[in-house]
Amino acid sequence: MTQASAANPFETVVPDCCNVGVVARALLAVNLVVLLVEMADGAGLWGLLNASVLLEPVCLASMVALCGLRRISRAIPPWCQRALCALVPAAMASLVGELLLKTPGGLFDLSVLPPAQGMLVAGAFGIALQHYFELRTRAFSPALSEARLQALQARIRPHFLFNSLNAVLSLIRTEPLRAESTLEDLSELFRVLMRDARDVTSLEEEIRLCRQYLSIEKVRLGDRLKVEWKSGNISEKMLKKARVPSLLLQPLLENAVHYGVEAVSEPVTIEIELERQADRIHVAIFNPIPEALSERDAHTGARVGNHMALQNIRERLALLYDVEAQLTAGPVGGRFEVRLYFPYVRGD
Amino acid sequence: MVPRIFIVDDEAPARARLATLLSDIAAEFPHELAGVAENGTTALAAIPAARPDIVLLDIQMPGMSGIELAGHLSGMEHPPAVIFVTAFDGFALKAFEVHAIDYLLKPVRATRLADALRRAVALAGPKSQAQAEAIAAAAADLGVRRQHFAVQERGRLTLVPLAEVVYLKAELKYVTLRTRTRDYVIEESLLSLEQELGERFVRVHRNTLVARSAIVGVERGVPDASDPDKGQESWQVVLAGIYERLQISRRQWPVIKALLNRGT
Repeated sequence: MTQASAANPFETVVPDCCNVGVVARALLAVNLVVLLVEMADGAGLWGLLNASVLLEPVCLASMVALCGLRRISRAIPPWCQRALCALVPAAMASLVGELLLKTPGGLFDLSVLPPAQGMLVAGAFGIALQHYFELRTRAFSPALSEARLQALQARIRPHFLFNSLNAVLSLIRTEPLRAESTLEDLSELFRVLMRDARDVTSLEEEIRLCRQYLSIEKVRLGDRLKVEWKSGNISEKMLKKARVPSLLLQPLLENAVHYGVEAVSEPVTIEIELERQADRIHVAIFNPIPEALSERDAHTGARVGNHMALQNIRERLALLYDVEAQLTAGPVGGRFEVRLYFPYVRGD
Repeated sequence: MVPRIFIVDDEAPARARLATLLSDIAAEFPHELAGVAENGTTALAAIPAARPDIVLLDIQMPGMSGIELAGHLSGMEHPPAVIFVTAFDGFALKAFEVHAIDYLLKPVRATRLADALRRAVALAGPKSQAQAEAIAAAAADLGVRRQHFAVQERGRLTLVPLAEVVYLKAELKYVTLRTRTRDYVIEESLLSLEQELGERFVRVHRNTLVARSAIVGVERGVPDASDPDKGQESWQVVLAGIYERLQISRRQWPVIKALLNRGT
């Protein structure tokens, strides 16, 4: 595949055992296989319960160890990494087995599975899961997911571009300064839009981009658009530190403006709330639901469009964060509410 | 007399831009600005008095779309020529091209605006009927259904939301539109109304369309004098909010019965 560069000599093939999704899948797979084996033996669920005394500690300990190992994986040739994925669980099985033997009371009947055999089974599970995750990564290979991300990346609505340009034209003679700053905002927005879809930025930058986007819309919509930002327990420092994929929030705001503000004659307030929850960041965007979704979009399918935009963002989040990010959207108490949760990834 | 021009757009900068462009081309295309409006409802209130010859009309507006507004305008006694102005609207533009309806793309160039205005002047008057038909056809292609009836009364246009209409009844030359509070007279054929509004209205009689949502039930009524089979049992529609009953023709009775059975 890719030629190894001097700085990073090897490709990482150790699964990302620090990822909740990977951990959940691995645990599920191991437990399912053991359950099936126990059922074939006639022991069923009880057998699984008995085995889990050994199973769960081995799985978790192996994954914690591999999570640590992954950081130095680039220094290790891939075949070594694969071997480690078998050896680590085997070592853990022997270690946990040893510990259980010393525990008085005999919680686990080790006669069912002699230590040597246990190590073999653990190693087999390790290599099988490593193989599965490696294949999975290849299936979603960088080239492929790159293309997928590019396709999913929020594209600006042509309607927005031309209306904004038109608004700037209207300002040039009367308010040249405002026209200038609007064009500057517009070009910065487009610079980000044309960047690589995998680009990572700070939350602070993303929010600045959102503000620029909203100020362009403000030129166009005037008093009809009002925006309220609330950032409860998030400090300036945290905003600078938090890493997010670029254009994480802007498409959500564009959605709110398009369906919540453009469709209404009266002034509308969009509320944006940022909040930190342990190691996650929570962003909520609220806009009032237009009284009657008029027929103005009958031919462009407003509801379908809205759904597609959100689905698009959801898929992009899944590619970027797997199961660690969530997006919920829907009407709640007369307002349309979009809630986004994503991990707080610290950068320098 | 110079042509009078009216601007309808929901975005203030877009209205300002069109007004600027109009003043720029005033030398080559003498005209008068008859007025501006920020949505369909205010436009319909102002246009009969402003009496414009040409309306520059944005398509995407809150409330009533430009296409619906154009439909109402073409029902006026002296309908103005309509030029649609839009930033980007792929589907609509395709329909406009098919039906040879004029449009301008935002940002608009002064020369294009002048050309379109000249064409509109040529189209006004006797050709307004052709424009009305083209707009109706484009609206049908785009699936734009009206949300209002624009009723002309003593030179003024009154908007009646579709949701308030209880029934439409064909009289000798016109159609009576009944809401809970009063009735209006409109000049449209019941047949074309049925084709357009078939999803919301159901025919209960040769001359009556009733809003599906307004039907509460049916009851036995007095025999219909116009019915050829006098003395046969007849049924009437019971309506929400109105004491009046409407005769169901024998021919439509199975349809209504099926409708009521489905509802319960």
